[in-house]
Amino acid sequence: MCWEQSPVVNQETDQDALIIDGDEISSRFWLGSSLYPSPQIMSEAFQASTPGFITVSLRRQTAGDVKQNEYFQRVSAWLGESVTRVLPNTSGCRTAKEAVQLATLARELFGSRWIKLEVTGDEYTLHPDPFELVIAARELTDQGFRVLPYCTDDLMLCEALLAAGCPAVMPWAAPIGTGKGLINPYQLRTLRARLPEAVMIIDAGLGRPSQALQAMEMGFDGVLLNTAVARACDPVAMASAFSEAVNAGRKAYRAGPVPERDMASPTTPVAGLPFWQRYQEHESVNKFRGK
Amino acid sequence: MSVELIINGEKRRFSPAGTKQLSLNELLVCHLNYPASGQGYVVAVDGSLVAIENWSETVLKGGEVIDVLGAITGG
Repeated sequence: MCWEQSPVVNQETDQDALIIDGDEISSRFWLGSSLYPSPQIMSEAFQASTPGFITVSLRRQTAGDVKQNEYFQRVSAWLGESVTRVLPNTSGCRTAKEAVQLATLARELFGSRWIKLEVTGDEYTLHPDPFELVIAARELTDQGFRVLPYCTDDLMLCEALLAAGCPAVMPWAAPIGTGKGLINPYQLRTLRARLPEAVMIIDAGLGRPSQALQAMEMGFDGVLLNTAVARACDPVAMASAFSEAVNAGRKAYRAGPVPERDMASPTTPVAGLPFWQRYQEHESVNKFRGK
Repeated sequence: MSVELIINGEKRRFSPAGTKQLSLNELLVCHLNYPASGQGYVVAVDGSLVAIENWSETVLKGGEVIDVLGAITGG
């Protein structure tokens, strides 16, 4: 029995596109654009992994900043020549009101209704504020935004965000930038099991491709990360490794992993083994019995 | 007559050309040297977006909080 098999997976066909709010997203691997050692390396990381979305943000800028922004020029160039979509965030906002204001400005600047909704509740852990998040999600979906909220792995919160009109939710694996991997696999498994139809992207806290693979094997629909790639010794190679891990994890999930067992189970058939007789117990058994 | 504004968190004083009132467009393009095309940045006055087509008719009376935001990389 494939106990981890999700009902949303259609094993009958090879079609496995990621669809969010009616749009096909080109890849299940999504990548941030921050913290790279150089604009050139950032571009090469995009090229090596062809992410479905690239996250960006907006901040106060002088006229000089606007005219000489090489990182963003590279992001724009990549978006122009690839199928990758832009996903502006509301990083740094502490209230629903701030997040709605910033999202409105982001929509004007980037010309996209997609928004990665972030409302920070605690500066030390960057823990999302669940209450403000739901208020902002409701307001933004009412205004026609396609809201992808960065949230914790709390089941009730994810349900509330979906009920607010978000076409997907993005629970964390661990706090942003920690690289700890899936700190609460039980909770993530519960989330997947209780919301089998929801599109869920694991966002933040991943440090290694094996952790992304683990999330995908659990049945999550995609992975979004930044630090693990941008701060690696070789960001380009790491971007490629994460992209491959996400694809491998998805394939494994669709293939239906075997259930875990407490006891060993032989892979080679026991029947037909020579030297054993029906009427006598094996000598190794007798040995343990002290015969 | 000059007006005092808060631009990107800083208090600054500006005088409109001639006797006219200071428009948002004049402030951005003439006083602050942002590109006239409006390309690569957006503007909020008192927290609300002002689209480029409304810059000329937006008169600044003084005391407004103006944020000029551009794209940056992000996670």
